[in-house]
Amino acid sequence: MSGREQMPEGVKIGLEIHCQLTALRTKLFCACSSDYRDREPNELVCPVCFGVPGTLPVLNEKAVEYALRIAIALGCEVAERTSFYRKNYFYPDLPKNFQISQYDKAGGVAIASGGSVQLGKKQIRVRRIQLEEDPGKLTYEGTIDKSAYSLVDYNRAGIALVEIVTEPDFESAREAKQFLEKLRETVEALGVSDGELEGAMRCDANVSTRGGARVEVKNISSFKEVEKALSYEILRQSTFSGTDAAAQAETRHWDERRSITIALRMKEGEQDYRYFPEPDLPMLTISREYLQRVQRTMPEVAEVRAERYRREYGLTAQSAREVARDPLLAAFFEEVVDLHARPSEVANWLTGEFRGDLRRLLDEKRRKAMADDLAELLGMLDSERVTRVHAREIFRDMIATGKKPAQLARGEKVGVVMDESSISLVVERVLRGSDVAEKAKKDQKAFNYLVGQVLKLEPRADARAVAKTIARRIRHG
Amino acid sequence: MDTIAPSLAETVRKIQSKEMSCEEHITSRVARIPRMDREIHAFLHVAGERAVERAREIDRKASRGEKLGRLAGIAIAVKDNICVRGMPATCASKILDGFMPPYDATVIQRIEAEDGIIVGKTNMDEFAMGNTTQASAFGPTKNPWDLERVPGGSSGGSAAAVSGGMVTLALGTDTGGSVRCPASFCSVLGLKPTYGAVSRYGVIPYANSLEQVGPFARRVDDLALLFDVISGHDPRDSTSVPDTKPSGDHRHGVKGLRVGLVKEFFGEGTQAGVREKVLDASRTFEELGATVGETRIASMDYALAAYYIVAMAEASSNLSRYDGVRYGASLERGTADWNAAFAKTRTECFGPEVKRRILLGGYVLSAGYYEAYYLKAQSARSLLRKEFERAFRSYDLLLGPTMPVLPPKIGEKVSPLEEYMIDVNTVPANLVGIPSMSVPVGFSSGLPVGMQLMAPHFGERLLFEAARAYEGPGSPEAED
Amino acid sequence: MSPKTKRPKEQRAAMTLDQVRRLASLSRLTLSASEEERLTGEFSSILEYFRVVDKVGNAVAHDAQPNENVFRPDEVAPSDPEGVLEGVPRRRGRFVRAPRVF
Repeated sequence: MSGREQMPEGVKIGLEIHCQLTALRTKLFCACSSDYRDREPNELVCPVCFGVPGTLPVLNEKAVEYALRIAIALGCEVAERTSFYRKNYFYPDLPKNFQISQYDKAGGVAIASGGSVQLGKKQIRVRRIQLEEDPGKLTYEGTIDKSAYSLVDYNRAGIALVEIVTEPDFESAREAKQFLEKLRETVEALGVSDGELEGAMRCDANVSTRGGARVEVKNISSFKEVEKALSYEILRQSTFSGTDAAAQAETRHWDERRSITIALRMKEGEQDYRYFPEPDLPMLTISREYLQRVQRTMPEVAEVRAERYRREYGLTAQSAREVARDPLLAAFFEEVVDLHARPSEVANWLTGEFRGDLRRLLDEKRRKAMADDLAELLGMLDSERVTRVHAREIFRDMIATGKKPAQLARGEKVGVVMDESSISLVVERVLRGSDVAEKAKKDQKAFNYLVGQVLKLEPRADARAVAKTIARRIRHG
Repeated sequence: MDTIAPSLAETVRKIQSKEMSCEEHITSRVARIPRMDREIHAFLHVAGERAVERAREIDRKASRGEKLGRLAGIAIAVKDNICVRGMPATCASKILDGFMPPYDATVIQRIEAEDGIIVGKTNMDEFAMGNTTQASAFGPTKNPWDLERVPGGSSGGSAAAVSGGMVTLALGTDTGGSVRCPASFCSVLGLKPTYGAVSRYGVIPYANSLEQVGPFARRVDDLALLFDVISGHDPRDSTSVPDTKPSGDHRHGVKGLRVGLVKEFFGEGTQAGVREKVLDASRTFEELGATVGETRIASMDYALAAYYIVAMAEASSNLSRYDGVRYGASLERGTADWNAAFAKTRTECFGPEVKRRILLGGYVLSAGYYEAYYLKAQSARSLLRKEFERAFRSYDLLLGPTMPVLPPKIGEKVSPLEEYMIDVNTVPANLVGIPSMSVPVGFSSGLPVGMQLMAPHFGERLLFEAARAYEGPGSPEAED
Repeated sequence: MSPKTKRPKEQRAAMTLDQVRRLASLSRLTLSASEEERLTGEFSSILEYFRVVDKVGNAVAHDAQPNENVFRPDEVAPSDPEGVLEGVPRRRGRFVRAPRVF
């Protein structure tokens, strides 16, 4: 490769994302459990999802609700009438050799379409959203080349998928990756999918450069790989510029091991999916009332929540985003604010260094107690019973040990009681090394500064005791 | 052709009261099937032991004084595309040779809940594609009335089993006439219910939007009973309708009933003997107090084409799953990869008619042809439906010959299109979803003729009433 | 019902040999040369007959479905793996053994 660093021109990327509705308990068309990871092969199968002749699909009502949550969050128009279609093709991981999916041509209407998502300064348009079933999983004994046959596990067959197709609005691999991350946060916030689960979110991409042919890139296994795959493909296509050859429209396969895309063997004749309406499933009509009910009962999405925090609580955009991002943290924030009522202050404590640890322990049980405790600590800070530095130490201990702030402030039972003489030693050290001692006699700020310096050296010291000691010391020279 | 025996209701009563041993009854029933079926070949599988074991259970229940079901001790034959756990379900195809369903169809569960006894699975055209039962991979079934003639199809085995006196009741499926055609050719009653009235869960599909499980019987009361047992909403079938009140007033007899002869059902291909017998039957209705008039359904022109386009399209997709991987026959030897293996199994195990419909079905769904064929066919259904609705404003029932011809000879050479053409009277009911019944109306040149009665959606009760009136107070024909 | 008629050879074939071959491939069916030829002829006649639906105006597509909005609740029912696995022609432990896929 040439070592060119500049971005190729006219890059257009569109994404086709498959997101499992992992929050569902059952599969899309049968009552098998959807909890298929780490199971024995073919453990969660029944005649329906196995494709046994004579069986019929029955639609999971929650799947529709969850698909609509996604549609609403992505700003889409929801169809009044929508239906399922069969996509016909042969493959061993397809139990019926057709997939029950949706279609948006020749009279077919997908469940939602025409949405858009804010990504930084631009809008990414969402072409359509549709519900479909996941196929099973194909594996091999040993390596794919050496294996004489393939092994199929249908545990995943029939799992509910939402397919999200964007317009080719991305202009870089980075943008595409950012979108995917934002989408993952969104579906998690919506409570419909845990995007971190293996295989829960997969994506294919369409890449073209300089108005050239569209190349489909498939088999991108994770978000990490997305940026690599797209960057590679953009570069590969850019090598055609300035030559007579042009990148041809084709489907390419991302080879993770070698970090390249490879052309798939051309099949004889093109694939014709022969879409037609699924005769075993009736139409879905989505009324205004139902849609409103979904909207009312769905979890608030981070974006919307951040905006609300900015408005209602006067947080900065940055702060609001950080707090709103995580539903548990956001709920905690609102509880503390209820008790303490200085939202900006509260927000400071929930972001930055404490965020990770705090977030981890925010299960239902500790949240209420922790909210009370943090509010109390902030009260102590307001009334200057503790300094900011000390308060941060106390908070760290609170998170680690679950002890109450008052307890920790007094140093009680923590084995770090500072007696007068020890404090005096530290005070001496600070005063000797400081030139504001004189000033501190009259100036509160300077005085506070000295207290802070002592506490910096000895955080376990009780702030009040330190203040008393310093006051005494400077008064008496 | 049958020994005098008690009627269905009598049999059930005697078994309940322990006057008759169910075990003995069923044992004798099952024992005589091989003899009676030797020439006819209605059955593909006889489940003698299982049937006798069920019969014993029923006797035990009766001994304990428990109330038995409405079908207690009645021997029932089931078409081989309906799943019965523990019995094969081949659909008369090599590709499902050895397939044993791991579950019972809903209709089977309902029959067994009423203590009905499934004695075996019957022959059919492969995957229900045909109207003569000659397209079975396991040999044809013969018409009990003339062993050189076809019994009709695709549910030929079930019709012959009832007609031949081997069982009292049987189940078939009707996608384009596959219950009514063999009922007509075998001189028994056969009903295609309203679409959605009977669950399709466990019925191996040929064309999902067209087919229904339908009962065969020799007497109307028996037919109506079996229908009542198998019908009703099933949450496992999303196309089954919520339990609906039957349409039409409850009535006895046909006095004042308006019967419409559909001109298109008496087209130029109708054999004279058939026409005669059916018109005779319409006069019988008049004598019984009905008024008979004539009506036209112009869109009938499209019906046959629309039927085959939709049916083949759905079939081509339904049959994709047979690839030798998950069930059934699996031929891999000598193949290099999955495509070749799939092709080998399907090529060697599907019969010619099935292949024809898979290919044509694929065609009418393929890119560039979908709108011209499939969508147009679906539009034709709409048109037809509206015209039937209009006809039913003037008439309570519509009438015509079930089949335009008498049962053809086995082995008669006709082109596929010619064979498709004789479904012309039966397909409209499947396209529109209305219930339709074939009623025996006599013989012409010694061969059975049937008339087809059609009612509005959920009008089965009306059909039974009209057939009962026509049947008269008691038929000389022997019962169970 | 139309009587047996001989189709004139010069009548435009509604289907070509190539199309039959493509359909066969799409459907995973292998046809012999003679089958291909015979079917091309048969299909042409049949499709010619099907063309009668051309005359249908674009009426609203029939919804054969009498129902709409049929659901089931999101509640787990026990799976039945043994029942379905018993019928699998080739297995490797609990895996279904399928032919090689490239």
